[in-house]
Amino acid sequence: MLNFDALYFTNQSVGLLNICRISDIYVKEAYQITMHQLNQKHSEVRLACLLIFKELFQRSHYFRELLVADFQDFSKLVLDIDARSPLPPPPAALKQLKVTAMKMIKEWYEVYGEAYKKLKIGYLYLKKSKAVDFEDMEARSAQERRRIQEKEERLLALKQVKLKTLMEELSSEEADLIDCSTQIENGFELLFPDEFSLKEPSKCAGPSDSDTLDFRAHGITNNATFNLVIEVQTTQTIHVTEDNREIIKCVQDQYRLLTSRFLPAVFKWNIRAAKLGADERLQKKILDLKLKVELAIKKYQELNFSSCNTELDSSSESDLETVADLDNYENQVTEVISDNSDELEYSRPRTVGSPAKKKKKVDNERRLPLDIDSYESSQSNIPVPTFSRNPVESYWVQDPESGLAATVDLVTHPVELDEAFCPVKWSCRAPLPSGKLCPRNDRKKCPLHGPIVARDELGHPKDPSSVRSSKKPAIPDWQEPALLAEIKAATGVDLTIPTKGKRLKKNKFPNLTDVKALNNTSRSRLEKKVLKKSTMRKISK
Amino acid sequence: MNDVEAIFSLKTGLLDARKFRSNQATKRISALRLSNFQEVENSHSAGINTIDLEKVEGRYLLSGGADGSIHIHDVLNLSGNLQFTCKNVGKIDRQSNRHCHKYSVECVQWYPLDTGMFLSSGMDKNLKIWDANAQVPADVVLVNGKIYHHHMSPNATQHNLVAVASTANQVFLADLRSGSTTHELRSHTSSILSVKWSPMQEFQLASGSMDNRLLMWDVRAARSCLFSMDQYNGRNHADVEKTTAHNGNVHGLSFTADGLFLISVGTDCRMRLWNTETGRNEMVNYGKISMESKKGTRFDISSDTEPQMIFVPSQGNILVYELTTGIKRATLLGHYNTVTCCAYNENVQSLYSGANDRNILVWAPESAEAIREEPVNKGAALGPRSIVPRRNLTEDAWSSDEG
Repeated sequence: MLNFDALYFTNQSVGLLNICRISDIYVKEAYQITMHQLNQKHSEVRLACLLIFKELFQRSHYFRELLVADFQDFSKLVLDIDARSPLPPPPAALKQLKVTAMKMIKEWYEVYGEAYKKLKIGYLYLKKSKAVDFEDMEARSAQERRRIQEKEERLLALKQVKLKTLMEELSSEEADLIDCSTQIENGFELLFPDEFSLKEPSKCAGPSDSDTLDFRAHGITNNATFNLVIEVQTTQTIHVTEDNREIIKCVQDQYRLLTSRFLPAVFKWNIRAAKLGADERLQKKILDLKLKVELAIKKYQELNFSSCNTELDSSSESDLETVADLDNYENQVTEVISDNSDELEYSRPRTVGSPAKKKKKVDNERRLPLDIDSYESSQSNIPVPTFSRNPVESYWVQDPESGLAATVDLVTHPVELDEAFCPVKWSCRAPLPSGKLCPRNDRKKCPLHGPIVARDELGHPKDPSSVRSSKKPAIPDWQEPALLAEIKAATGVDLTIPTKGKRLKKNKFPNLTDVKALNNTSRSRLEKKVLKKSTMRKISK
Repeated sequence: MNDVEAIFSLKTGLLDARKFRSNQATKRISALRLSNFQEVENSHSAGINTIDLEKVEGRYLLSGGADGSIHIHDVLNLSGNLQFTCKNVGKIDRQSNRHCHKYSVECVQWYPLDTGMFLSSGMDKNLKIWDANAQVPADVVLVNGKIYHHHMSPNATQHNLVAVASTANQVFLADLRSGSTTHELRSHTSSILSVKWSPMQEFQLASGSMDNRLLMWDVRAARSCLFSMDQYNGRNHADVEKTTAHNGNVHGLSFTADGLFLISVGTDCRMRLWNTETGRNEMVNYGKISMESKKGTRFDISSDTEPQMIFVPSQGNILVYELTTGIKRATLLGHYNTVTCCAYNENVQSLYSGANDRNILVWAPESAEAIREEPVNKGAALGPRSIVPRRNLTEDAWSSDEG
């Protein structure tokens, strides 16, 4: 982002103004150069030009005439009025450009509109025909405004639909919910007809003078303190009997329904209604329902219903089989784990999986299918099949008399190897950037990390001399960024060594935002490849 | 010769009155600029395709828009004040008048001898003859094709024909007395964009077309056309089929007031001057005039000045050329979109122009000094604001500290 510090800018522009005041020739030159720059596809450049225009416009009559003559082009470049040539990025500068231009044009019109007719006409033209709203300081173009309006309308319609579905859902579920909670309520009333009296604290009918008890009379000194802890049974237990079993069962069922279905639903409705901005009536209704559900649940939990068992002799008639004790299995598992951890302690040898199993597998692989040449060496006493050349057709056919056609392919023969296969017992274990160790099992040399050497737990080689320093340090020590920055600040020379294979790109305009870099997103790069013309052509074929 | 001397010699008879008049007109026209005092009330809601100023009084300006509306403005300043806005005195649009054109109006023209009647035509293939006072059509002529242009002879005494240029390849002649088309002039091979009656020979007619040809007709003649204008003045001048007037569509035509010359503009960005007697190209080089209009471009000629001036719309500007030499005298800047038409007012040497930016602008001979004059009605200016010295807005304002 350019620094449009007013003071900085005025300092810079004073020089320009000093030149321009000498003669109109310079004004014209300045105008042409700035107008040329205004055509750049970079909003920051345009904004800078606009500020120069502002300085010159309020000073030079000739400049005003020049600009007013080209006012149409000018307005196209600084205002978002031409759909065919939208304002260039970066977006932040674009917005600032629009706002600044609008403010400026309005100001010019107010001050100079009377003297420069074309400016006045231009202002009115922009206002009427191009629908530029000079009062709207957000500098939204007509299309933008329309787009926003359309979006709002769409959202509103969507909201209405959602609200409607919510209402429908609510009206359909409400009856069930109320039904459910009423059942619970009624159940409670049936089970605890005197519920309210239970809840009320029983009044103590003790003597009133007991408060002024003389402790001394009981042999207790006045300054002694004591604590009396009285445990009060807050939870009520229900004894299941034949009479109330059905009621309890019903209440439990309804509770299950309430917690699993209605409670989440009510919460969801509440959130949805708040999001959609439903009217107060609906929200209140939902809140009432929510309170009702929560109250019922709370009461249920207070009364400790879940503890009462309504099943008839459930423990004796259980169909479930006893599960075998897991202790044994756990022991085995812990053993294996401890073994492995012991092995990990060693620096080099490490095995993966069971070695015996692997060897067996390898041995199996080494039984090659039988071919003609190896019949001689084969120890099996299968007769050698004979092939005769078919005189008519030029391919080998099996002698039909041998009768062993089916078995030939299945017969294998062992191949003698000089040494027995010995699986690799170690891994490379060089430290990886991820913090793990290289898990490759190579016999002698890891293709990534070189010869396999003994390493400690962190993956550093035990013998430092074994690691040849094949590479020189990539950057000399004087290439420290801090030092380079210091040198650059002092002498203005950038001594950074360019990275190999890359040419040092000199940013010509360090104060400008790189517009190309803004477009260089992963999406655009991918698009370039995926939507390439040649690729598309290939696909369409 | 300054004004005082000119008046003196006029009084002593040393100077011809007509000469004096044309001198003054020429002087005024060279000072033509966007008027600071006059403006036309902005009533159009779409681009303006055509305007016409009546010749009788030079008072009423007719304009047709792309939305099918027709407006009439009174341009005569009777207020006695420099500051003047031309009021809209007549409006025919969809809201107010059911007889309004359905599509874009392409051409409007006053009846040459009276302001009681005018003609309009447009893309709805209708040529409407309006009663200007009642604002209802007296007659409607349906033509076979979308109408680009029509013209009524300014000096005809023996006929009442209106020539109509349309997308059909013929020029139709509509007779106002019968209210129907009487002739078809066939020779063009493509849409006709412009027609004009000669102000000298009342039966002569010129037509420019999309087939790049410019033909001269005598409507009495039995054969197809008198001759075709040849831009190269070649030997096969008589070969109507082969000669071309432009290397692009011929989309604007105008006779000079004496009828001796014809000017045409084309989409090849050229303007050509033709001798109407011989059909020769006069080979005046006006340079390149960029015009993007695919439809007609209406330009005008000042007949009262010496030399005569042509006002040609060129995109957003109006160019002023000398007729005989082709020298560009001025560029009039003011419009914000393509200028489509202009009309010259001989009485006060001012120019009216219409453009796609919905504005009709007035160009008047106002000198730079005149702008700085105080308004005429001093009474209004005697408010508290007059105490504050008004800054002269057209002067440089270099602040003194920048030295």
